Formats: sequence, C-alpha cells, structure tokens
Amino acid sequence: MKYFILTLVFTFLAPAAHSAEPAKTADEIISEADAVRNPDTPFSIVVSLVEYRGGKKENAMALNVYSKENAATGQYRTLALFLNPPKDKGKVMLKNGTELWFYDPVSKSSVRISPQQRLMGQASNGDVMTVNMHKDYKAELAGEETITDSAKTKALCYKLNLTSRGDSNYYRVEYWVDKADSRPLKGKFYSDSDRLLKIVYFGGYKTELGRARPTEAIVIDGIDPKLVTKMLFTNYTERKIPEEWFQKEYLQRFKGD
Amino acid sequence: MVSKRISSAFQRGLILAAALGLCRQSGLAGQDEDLDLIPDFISAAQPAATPSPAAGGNSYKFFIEDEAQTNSRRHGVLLPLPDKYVPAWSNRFTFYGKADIRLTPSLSLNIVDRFNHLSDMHSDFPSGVAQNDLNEAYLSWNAYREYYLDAGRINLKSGVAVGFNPTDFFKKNAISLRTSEDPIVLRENRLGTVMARAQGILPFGTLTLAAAPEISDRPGRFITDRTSFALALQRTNAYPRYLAKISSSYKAISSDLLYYRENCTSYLGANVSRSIGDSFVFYGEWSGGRRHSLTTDALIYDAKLYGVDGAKYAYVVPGDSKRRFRNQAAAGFSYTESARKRSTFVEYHYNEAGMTNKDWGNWFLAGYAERLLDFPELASVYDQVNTVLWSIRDYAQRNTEPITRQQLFIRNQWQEAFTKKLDLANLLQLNAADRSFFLQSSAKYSLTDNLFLNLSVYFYAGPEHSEYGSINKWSAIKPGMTYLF
Repeated sequence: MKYFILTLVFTFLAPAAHSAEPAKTADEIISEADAVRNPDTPFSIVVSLVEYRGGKKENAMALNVYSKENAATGQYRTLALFLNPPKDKGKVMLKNGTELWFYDPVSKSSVRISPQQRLMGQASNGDVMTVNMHKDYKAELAGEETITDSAKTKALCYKLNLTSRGDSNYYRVEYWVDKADSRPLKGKFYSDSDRLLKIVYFGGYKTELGRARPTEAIVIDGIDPKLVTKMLFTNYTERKIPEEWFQKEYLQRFKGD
Repeated sequence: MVSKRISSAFQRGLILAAALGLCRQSGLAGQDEDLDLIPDFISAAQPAATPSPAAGGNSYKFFIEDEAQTNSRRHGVLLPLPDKYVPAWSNRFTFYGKADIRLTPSLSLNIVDRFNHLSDMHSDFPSGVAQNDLNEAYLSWNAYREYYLDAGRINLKSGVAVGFNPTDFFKKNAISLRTSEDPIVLRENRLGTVMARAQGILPFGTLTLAAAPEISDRPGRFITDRTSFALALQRTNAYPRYLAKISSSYKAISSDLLYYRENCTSYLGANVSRSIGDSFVFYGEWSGGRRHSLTTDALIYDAKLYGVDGAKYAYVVPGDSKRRFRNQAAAGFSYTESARKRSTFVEYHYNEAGMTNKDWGNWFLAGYAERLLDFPELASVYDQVNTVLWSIRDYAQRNTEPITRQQLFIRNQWQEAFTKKLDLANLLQLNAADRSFFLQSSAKYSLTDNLFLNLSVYFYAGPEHSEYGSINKWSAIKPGMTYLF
C-alpha cells in the first residue's frame, strides 16, 4: 500500500509540482530560446562545417556570417562570405527576406537565387543560427519531454510545434527548449510535404557576447541520414552593420572584416 | 478480502505507473534514435583550424589551368571557316591571379590578370603564342560611409539574365579569349574598361555613375593587342562612354534603371527580378537605342579597325542598314530542385539588330556565288568575301549578343551529381528560326579541394543552311585540369 501511494505520488504529483510554477506561453518560450541563439545587437560569427557521410569526412567549408535583425520584420538579414574551400573562397551570399543574391568575385556578377537554391548549399545551415523562430513561426506548446542532447546528457525540455508564418525555409519545426535555461537543444525541420529535411542538435554552450550561446551544432540530413554535418560557431563579434550592406550592389564591396 | 482488494489495486497501480513510464520511455526512444544517427567520433570531432577572416582585408586568388581541344570537322559546308580557326587540336595554359590589396583603411588596389599560352597543330610544340590579359587594375577609395570612387581598368557588369545581358553595355568587344561557349565562364574572362566610377550605396538603393574616355581606336604597340603584353585598349576604350544606373528593391522586386551613352548615342535599359515561391526566380532585362543592324555594325567596325572597306562589301549581305531604335531583351526564369541539387535556367533572347531569315539567306547566297563562280583568278576576292562574312559572326560573338533575332537558351547545372565530387552543367542554345542548336555538356570532378579535372563536349547541329549547321565542325572535346592555390 505504501509503495502504491508513493507510486501515485511520483507519477501524478510530480507534474503537479511543475504546474505550480508560473506557466510560460509557447511564444515566451520561443522568444527566450531565440535570445539564447541570437545576440540582440548586429554581430558576426565564423561558421566552420565538416560534412560526413557514413562517418567519412566528405566536405569542409567555412563562412564568415554577418547578421542583423530587420527592425520592421524581425527577420535576420545575413551576408555570408565564403572563407573555404579554395574554389568558393571570396563568394558572397546575401539573404534579405526573400531576396537572395549570390556574388562570384571571379565573374564579378551577382545572380539572384531562389530559397531552394540557397538550401542546396551549406550556407543555409549557417542560417540555423540566425533564424528568428518567434517571428517566422507560429508556436504551440506540445508538452514536456526529457531528451538526450548531443553531449548525451538528459534534459527536461519544452516541446514546441512551430508552423511557418509564410516566408520561412521550412514549413514546420519540432523544437525542444531546455526548461531550466531556455537553451534550444534540438530541432526537426520539415518541408511543406511534411518531409523531414533536417535534424539539428545545438550544443557546446559557452559564454559569448554576454551570455551562454551554442558554439556547435550537429545537423543530420533528413533525406539522407548518413549525411551528418558538424558546425562550429566561433569569433562571435559585435558589429556595426550599416543598412547599406544589404543592397546587392554592396556584395562586390564586402570584405568581411 | 479487503487486503486482496488492496493488493489488486496496488497491482493495477504498478501496471498504470509502469505503463506511464513506458509511454514516456517510448517517446524518449524516438528522440534517442535521432541521436544514434550521429557517429560517436563526430560529437567529439573538432574541425581543423578555423580559418579567420582575411587579415588586413587583403585577399588573393590564384589558379593554373590547362585545357586541350580537339575538333571534329564537318565537311562540305558552304562557307568553311579557314583551317587556322578550326585546328584539329589546340591547347591553352592559363595562369590567373586576382589580388585585392588594402593600401590604407579606405584605399585598395584591385588587380586581375590572366596569362595565356596558346598553341595548336599549326605551331611547333612547345612554342605558341603568349597572350596576357590585364582584365582589371584599379584603385578604389571608400570616400565616406558607403560612397566609393574607383579609377582604372574596371569590369563593370549589369544584368540579371544568364545567357544574354542587353544591359551589360561594357561587355561589347571585351571577351579577351573565348575559352568556353558558356556565358557564365565567358564573364570570367573579359577585359575591363578604363573608367572613373562613383558609387553611392544607400539603405534604399544604389546610384552608379561611370565615365570611360576614348583612348585609342587605332592600332598601336602597347595600348592595342598587337603584342603579347599589350593592354588591348582599342577593344574597350574606342569611344567615350558614360553610364548612370539606379538600383533598388521594393517588396522583393529588385530593379535597375540604366542610361548609357556611347559615341554620342543614348541607350536605355532596365532589369527586374523577383522570386516566386521557394523554387522559382523570374527575371527580365531590356535595352534599347538607335543603332545599325548587327551586320552593318560589323562592317563599320571592321572598316575602322582593320582597314577593310565595309561599304565595298555591304552588297554581300544587303539588308536593313538604317540606323534606328532597336530593342534587345532577355526574359526567363530559374527553377531549383534543392533535394537533387539541380537548377535550370530557361531564357528567351531577342535581338532586334540580329540577322533575320532574309539576312541569313543573303549570307548563304554569297557562299553559293563563290561556289558557282569558281574562277581561280577571283580566289582572293572570295577569300575577302569569306572573311567579311565570318567577321559578322565573329563580331556578334565578341559583343556577346545573339547573332540571330530570336534564341532559346537553357542551362542546367547539377551539383554533386552521382557523387559529392562531381558537378555537371548542360547548355543549349537554339536558333528559333532555323532550329539549329548548340549543346555543351561540362563536367568538373574534384580530386582534392584544390585540384579539378574538367571535361566539356560541344555539339553544333542543324541543317546546312542554318546558324550552327554551317559551322565546319560538328563537335569539340575539351579535357582539362585546374589547380587552385
């Protein structure tokens, strides 16, 4: 009888103890998680990626990414300068809402690209750092789950179901945010045909630009799960980024320094 | 009895608790399965030294490239290109260097140079022709905020289309060496124009002003292309030229308006582009101004530059020689399948100055005349006529404009085709009037991050009296290798 009561207490009262805390809305949770990933000032980071297939290294690349939030839309605009590999060095990609341009310094010409064209390259993986989930997606709290993060540590998380508000790269996202400190730990990104496109694990939290932020992410390709990309985020730097930099004519002037 | 009831309740409680626990475990199991997709060593792996942004803002790019070409002859064409232009084999070695050097925080020096060594079956290997192309050399001064002044030899490009850019006014006669038929590759290999350029980039748009002086339109030792290391300024600075361009973007529609003046003639131009949905980008490009037909322009150009009496040969291809307002346009879309890493560009090209069916008829008629009037004593005249006829086609190629009025252009590129290391590109140019076409398939295989194997295959197909069917080669194979430093 004693065990029965104890079982009931642990099974049913434990959630009740959680429910005694002030309940957060889905919007609050996603906003706090966004603030963990995205510094509140314009900034730059160096994103280094290594792509593995079946555990074997296939590609490596590095980008210097400059980001600034658009005050009107809340979306991040990014300029990504390719640092590596040698064949791509010096190329620049601009993302300003749905306006995407790709500049090649050898041909000295800019080509307008579609969101899908951007997704073809690894630059789109750089965007997982600067997507404003709160603005781009409608959030719904699906409950709480204990998941294992990329460091193999268990963490009690809010699970959020996010649905695109229109202009985002993914139609819906399942998103896990650490309940203790609002750190995003995992995301599953789907297409409009509900095809799983990416699974992302955020980790390596270190203090950068004033608070703990992820310094690595592991991206599993949803279509080809043998394709795994490890990303490192370094050189977090606060920047003054003028509005002019998001004009396509600026791409040829962008030096990334 | 009571204890039995309590016992069964206890059992039910355990079952319930276990069931709840299992439910939670099964939810976890799904998430942990995702984690199982990550090999253990990847979690612990650290990428090699993280490259830092360019120190001091200087950037450099160098590569060497070697490319051979073999041509398969088409026999029995009416007006064959002279043999020297269709060698059975040829070879090109290129050293490319690009430097962007920050002299002071606001002043930089930009240089792009290509050194080519060209040889073919007519030259004794390893001798050949050296050709150095100084594509760019200019100083750039960041005067204030995002206001810039540039001076020197600059490659100023405009346009949103891929296959033909009517608003790219400075492309005229600027292709220094035709290393490919792919317009994207050709853009990498053109001479800049000596000019002064002012550019103001504002939050809502950009204003660009450029002025290029007339330097020389006459042959000369250093400023023309009469020596291997000359500047070939007669190609880019034969006339005074001016450009004003306003670029802006509104609600994801990007547009440019251009005013261009060359040798006392004004042209207008416009570009517009917009992405629709996730996969499509639609774009259009237009320019218009008073000019001669392409045929007449070619004869005038040859007369001025090479001393050919254009008027004398105007009868060869009679037609619309009036100077009047003519339009050029390119409209199309790109479509992307990101899952397969494929992009396709489809474009319609219109050149009102280009050759009509009647012009083509006259062009071939001249060939017939040669064949019918086969008098040895007139051989030199026929050679001249032949030269003039092909110079018209050469003129269109050098100006990167369609020789014919209407053309369909399709380009498909497939990244990581079959393997991560292989990129493929296919290009089709179809003459809408005579249904002849040019097809180019290219493959690039990366042996390492720095070393690439290249292979291109060209096909020229069509009836005898057609644009591509009249070329006296039906295919070419171009194997090559590129090493990036």
